[in-house]
Amino acid sequence: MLKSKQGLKKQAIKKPKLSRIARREERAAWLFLAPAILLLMVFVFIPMINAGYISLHSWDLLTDMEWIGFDNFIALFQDKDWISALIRTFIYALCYVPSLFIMALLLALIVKHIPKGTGIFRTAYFMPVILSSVVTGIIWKLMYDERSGLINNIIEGILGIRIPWLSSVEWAMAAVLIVNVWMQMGYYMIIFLAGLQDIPTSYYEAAKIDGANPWQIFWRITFPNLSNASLFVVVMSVIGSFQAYDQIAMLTQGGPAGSTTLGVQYIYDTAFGLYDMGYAASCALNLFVIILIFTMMQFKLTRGGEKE
Amino acid sequence: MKKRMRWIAGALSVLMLFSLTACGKEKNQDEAEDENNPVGEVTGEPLQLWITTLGEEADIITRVTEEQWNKEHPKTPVEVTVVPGNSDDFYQKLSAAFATENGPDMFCISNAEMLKYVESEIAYDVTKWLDSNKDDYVEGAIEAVTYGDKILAFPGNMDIMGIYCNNTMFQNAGLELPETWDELIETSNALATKDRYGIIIQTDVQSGYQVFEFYPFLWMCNGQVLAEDGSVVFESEAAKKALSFYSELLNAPGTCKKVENSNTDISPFGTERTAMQVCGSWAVSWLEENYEDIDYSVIPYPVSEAGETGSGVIGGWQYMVSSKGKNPEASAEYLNWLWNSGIEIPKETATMGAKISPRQSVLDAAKDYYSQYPMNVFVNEILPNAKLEPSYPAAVVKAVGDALQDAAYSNKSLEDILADTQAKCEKAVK
Repeated sequence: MLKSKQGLKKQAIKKPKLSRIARREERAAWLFLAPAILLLMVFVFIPMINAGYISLHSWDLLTDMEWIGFDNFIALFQDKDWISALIRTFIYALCYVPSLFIMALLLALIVKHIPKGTGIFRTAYFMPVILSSVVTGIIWKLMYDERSGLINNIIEGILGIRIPWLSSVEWAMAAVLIVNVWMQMGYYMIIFLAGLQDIPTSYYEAAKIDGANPWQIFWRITFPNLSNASLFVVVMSVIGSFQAYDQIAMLTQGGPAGSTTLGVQYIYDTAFGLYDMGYAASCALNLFVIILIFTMMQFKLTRGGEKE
Repeated sequence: MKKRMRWIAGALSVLMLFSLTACGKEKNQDEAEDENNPVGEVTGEPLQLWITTLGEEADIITRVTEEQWNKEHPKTPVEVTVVPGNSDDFYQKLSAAFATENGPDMFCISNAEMLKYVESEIAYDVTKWLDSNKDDYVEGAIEAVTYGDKILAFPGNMDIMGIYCNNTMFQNAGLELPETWDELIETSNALATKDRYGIIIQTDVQSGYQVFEFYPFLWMCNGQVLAEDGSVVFESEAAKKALSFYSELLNAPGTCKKVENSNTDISPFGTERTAMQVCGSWAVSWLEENYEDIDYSVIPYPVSEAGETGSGVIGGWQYMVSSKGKNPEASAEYLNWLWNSGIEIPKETATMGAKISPRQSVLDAAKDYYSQYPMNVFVNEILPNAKLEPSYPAAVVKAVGDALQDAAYSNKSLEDILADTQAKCEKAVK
């Protein structure tokens, strides 16, 4: 690359100042990148390597680490509770990703077509994204209260029943899902809005001239042209679903009866409840590999579709 | 490009290496300084005592340490750190500190958590300070901090669990205070309305707090989790009976299905959102301070059938010296001064915080306080039949917590739950 660049430069008018500028720009670029790289090294890559090291030991924080090789990894494939947590995580992802995708896209379409006050609606729908997850959890916990919660008051007025949102194994996962979708849909709405704005209006004009109805316009023009945004939303929401933790910790703590114990909650309970850091690290690495495989599969499938 | 990547990676490695070396150097210098210090003296940083948010007790400990101990013992000063947050936050900070060899010299610890610090040999032997004063402690207090033939912590104030009942609600409904399990559920259902619960009891696992509240139901059926020899005895008719009632109670219409925060908070009772609430003796001072108008009674845990002997559970905080601290002997002298040798400080911490001292001499000195209602209920009615929260391995407590959750919320049979819990506990104690 560098050689061909140099070759081109030789063919062009020789200006030594240009190559010095180019080198300075590159140096500046690395300087600007350096803090981010340093932070990534310190807070992401080194802890990941350290987690790998810890996973090969038995360690309770209070005593010295004891080397046990791959015993933790052998144990986790035989751990019914870990496997149950992973299965619940997959089920959660299967529900969370489509719900989030549809809600975010719906909001983006609505906001785009509002004649006035687009900014206000965009801000309002984005607000949950910037709220503290602890504050959100506290508020939703009160709203979900079976006896005096706002949601049950509304449901009782319409349907005459009250739902034990956080205290039944049937409803707890749905309760967590609703809160997480509500918190994140504003962020992905912005992604879709950006994608919608990139679609040339001439496409829509041409479609209208041809007599296309709204559904056909959406399905034949809007949706296909949102492929890049859709890929981003799907990939990020899948990763997010596998990492779901904060609202579970605030609302249900993995209960009732473990019905909302997903992968990260299980890792947390193992590390800070049982003080089994080595095993928790092995579970965390297992989850990392699963997320990585899913992400790579998604990229391959969607990029393969684009090439066709 | 490759050259630049190598340069950057190299620079970062050198930077990290430098910082690691600098940390190591600082530690070695501290060790060198300690070797030159005379025995019994602490130079540089004072001895560190870490405590969790204990309300009045924390304030009193901080004040007496600064105003009395540090003035009288300038060569062994103590600095009290109140770690903000709940007990989970405290334990995480504590264990992380020890993991990075920055643990405190002394710390408070609940009975449930003690075992970890005993097995990791962090607990310092304080037998010689407590041995001569053993007879002053109520039954079980010294045994709870004794492992083998060593006493490994100074017993601190006790918290005793009871059930708080709103007298006005009971009188308006024409109901008596419950004495049996059936009466507890019936009363709770009768008192519950659209705007209030009949009873609030811990519903989340909450790091073992649900198990803590459950113990008396198990004990009054003569059930146990671990026998004295350490074998697992949870799978039993006693446990089945206790779990069956517990499930019935949590699913009863009058029971709050989801506590807002931890059930250590008496606010729901104080704001009359519930007719009854299971809570500890610490709630008395909270009610006096914030909800003084509420007319209430405190009762022991009801028995399974009329005429049976009741049971209760005692929590509280022990005070441990770290064997890895700067000067364990000096730390033990301080904790001995704070809790074991005098009367006034333990009396003040107990009476100001509505706690119960584990020392008979302090209970006698504060006779007037403990003869008042409701503290007299805790001391005279509940304490005689109550036991200290046992110190089990974390995996055992988790297994029992899972059993409570399954009994209350899942479709599993009690037999399956008991068998599953037995297996998990046996694996944990192996």
